[in-house]
Amino acid sequence: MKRSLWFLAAIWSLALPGRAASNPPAPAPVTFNKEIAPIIYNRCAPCHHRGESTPFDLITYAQVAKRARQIVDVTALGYMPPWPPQSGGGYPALAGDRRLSDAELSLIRRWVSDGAIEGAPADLPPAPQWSGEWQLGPPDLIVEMQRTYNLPAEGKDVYRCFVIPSPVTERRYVRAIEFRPETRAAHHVFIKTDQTRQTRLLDASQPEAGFPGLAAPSAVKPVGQFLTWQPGKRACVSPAEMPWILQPGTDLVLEAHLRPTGKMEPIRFKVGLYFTNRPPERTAFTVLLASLGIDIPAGASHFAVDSSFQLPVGCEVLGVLPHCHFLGREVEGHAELPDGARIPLLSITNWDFNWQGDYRFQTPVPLPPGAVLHMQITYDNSTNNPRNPNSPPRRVRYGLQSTDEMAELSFLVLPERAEDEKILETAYVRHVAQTVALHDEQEVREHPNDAALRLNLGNIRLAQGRIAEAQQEIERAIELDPNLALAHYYAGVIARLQNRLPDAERELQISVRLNPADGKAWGNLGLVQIGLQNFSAARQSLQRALDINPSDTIARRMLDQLPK
Amino acid sequence: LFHHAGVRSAALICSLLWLGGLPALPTQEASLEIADLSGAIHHPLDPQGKKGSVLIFYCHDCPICDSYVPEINRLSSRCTNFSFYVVEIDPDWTVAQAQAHAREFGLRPPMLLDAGHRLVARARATATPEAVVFGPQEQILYRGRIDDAYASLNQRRPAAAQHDLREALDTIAAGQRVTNEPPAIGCWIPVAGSRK
Repeated sequence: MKRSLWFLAAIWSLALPGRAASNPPAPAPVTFNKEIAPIIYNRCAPCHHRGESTPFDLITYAQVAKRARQIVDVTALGYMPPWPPQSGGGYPALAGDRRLSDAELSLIRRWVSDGAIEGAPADLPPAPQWSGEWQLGPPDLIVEMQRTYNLPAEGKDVYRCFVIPSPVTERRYVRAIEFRPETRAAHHVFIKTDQTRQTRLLDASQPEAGFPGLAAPSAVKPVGQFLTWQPGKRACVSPAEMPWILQPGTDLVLEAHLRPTGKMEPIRFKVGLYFTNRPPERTAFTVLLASLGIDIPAGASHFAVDSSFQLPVGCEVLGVLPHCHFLGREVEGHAELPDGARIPLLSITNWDFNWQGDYRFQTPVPLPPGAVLHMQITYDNSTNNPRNPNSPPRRVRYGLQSTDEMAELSFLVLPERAEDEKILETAYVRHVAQTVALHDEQEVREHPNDAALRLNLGNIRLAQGRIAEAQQEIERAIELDPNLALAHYYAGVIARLQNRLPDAERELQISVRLNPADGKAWGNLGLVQIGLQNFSAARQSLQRALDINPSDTIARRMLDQLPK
Repeated sequence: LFHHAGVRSAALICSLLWLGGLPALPTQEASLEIADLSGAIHHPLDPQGKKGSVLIFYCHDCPICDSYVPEINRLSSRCTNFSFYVVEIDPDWTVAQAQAHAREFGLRPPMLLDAGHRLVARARATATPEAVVFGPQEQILYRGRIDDAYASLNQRRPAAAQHDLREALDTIAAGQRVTNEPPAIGCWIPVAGSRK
């Protein structure tokens, strides 16, 4: 249709040359070489080139023209380039923003409707070059999964954690980390670390590499870092003054979301590490706003949860990391200043579990003391949500499985003054303990005879420093289930805090008998035995703790100090 | 004056159309013949005694196509009263590349390279993976998606709930007309030769 109109216009001007001159000249058609190649080079080719996990290359005219109609569709839909957060409109600029501007979108549309013309060779800018497989050049250390996991050709998405031991023998400062999936099946990966060896033991207990689940219980994000990957993600580069510390004996834990591709996919992830000699001057702090009380009725199409935290000190916000599962629809984060002003920080209006990751602000956002961080997440648990894992929809509550829901928005913040870090941490720990305690109280009210829930509540009371209440919950948990190793562990810890050493020794003995792989229980038992002057028993217990976790520095120090 | 010019240009276009020749009329020529990757000759539009001939339009770099390989294999071994063909639509794809891809994914039905888009044109296929079913008179009995595993390009369901092609084949086998033809979701088939 468009083309026949052009044609008419051409005939018109031929027939009536005198009149054509008074009309404004038709705009020159958009060409690949002039207008489109720069957009493709900047926004598409960084992922769509050989060696990446994308299905085809987008660099040359032939490659792009062949898929012209597809490109109009996927860009209009916002599916490509994948970049869920809002840009502009008062939101802080995000590092690595791949979203196409309205002008770019319109050029692509016009190019295709003008006939996807190649244009003059002289207009074509030089194509970008990629030196090798690593974005930042050869890493200082490359580590790789030691066993392969074979992802089935089809079926549901797979969530699996993989462990890669790091071979460093001395403390290293990591300035950047780059993840190489080496497969098209990886959809998103969170990189964490574990010094407890618990994840490694879990991994070793499985016939194939890794173990199922979205979260490795004892793995943590390196302090002040978000390390995430999804297709198209650039390497995780930390600010120059904020590298992270990799201690010897630390395992890297990769929490991976894998999507079957139609053929069996061998999974053998690689990670490249880039070190610096410069130790961290500052360490950022993660403020995680979460809601544990999620309870979404079946069929609810607009169910919102929120959470907030008041910053006790002035901070800069460096970045954000949202997380929820398949029912999530919208994620919103902002700060409210003491004068009532609202600073928008993040908005994702079409949440897609498959494209989750962290976002760093190009320029840190300063917030004064007293500013309140807010998050709100909205869910669609109706049949209108095609990603709904339940058909028909069912009630969905908080949980770590992908069929449960989560509501998290983490803010990476840096207190203005280093001496304020402790104040921030204290206030935040109090906030988290309150949030968790409220949730645990509710759970215990609903299931008063569930030993594990009593244990959780006791654990959080202990963190709140409410020792007597903690003791009461733990004792109740042991009554309900005398074989709960962790309950005996906490009973031992509480007895130790109350200086009831013989009780502490008895409880910790039970704990290690029930779970001999718990290095922390052996370590605490050793400390109690030192208090009881039973040095030979203490030596054995501390040695057990060290056998399980050679990087347990407390056990090592105490063992060295024991009288021979 | 305006009216005049309109008539003039309309006349001009008509004459150009005539110059360009008449559109081809369907002829009763022998059924289209095409070799698969091993060189064996097939008549993909002619069911040859079966209930129908199923063509799955496929592009090796469309990830949605790849993800359907196990379902295509299952359907072809389940519905033995239909012939199944997988039609690769990329004109730049070689036999050796197609062989390697089919082997890598374990694709079982014969794969036909449709570089000239003769099958695309005959089936009026527009996207991959689109299924088109031809009956004994080479008439089209179904054109649409395989199932509803994809709600849109970026929305994959945990599992397909509507198995449209499978149901269509059951309907055709029962001698009835298929009325539900939901469009395929995937990659557009480029119109051959239109992009220069």
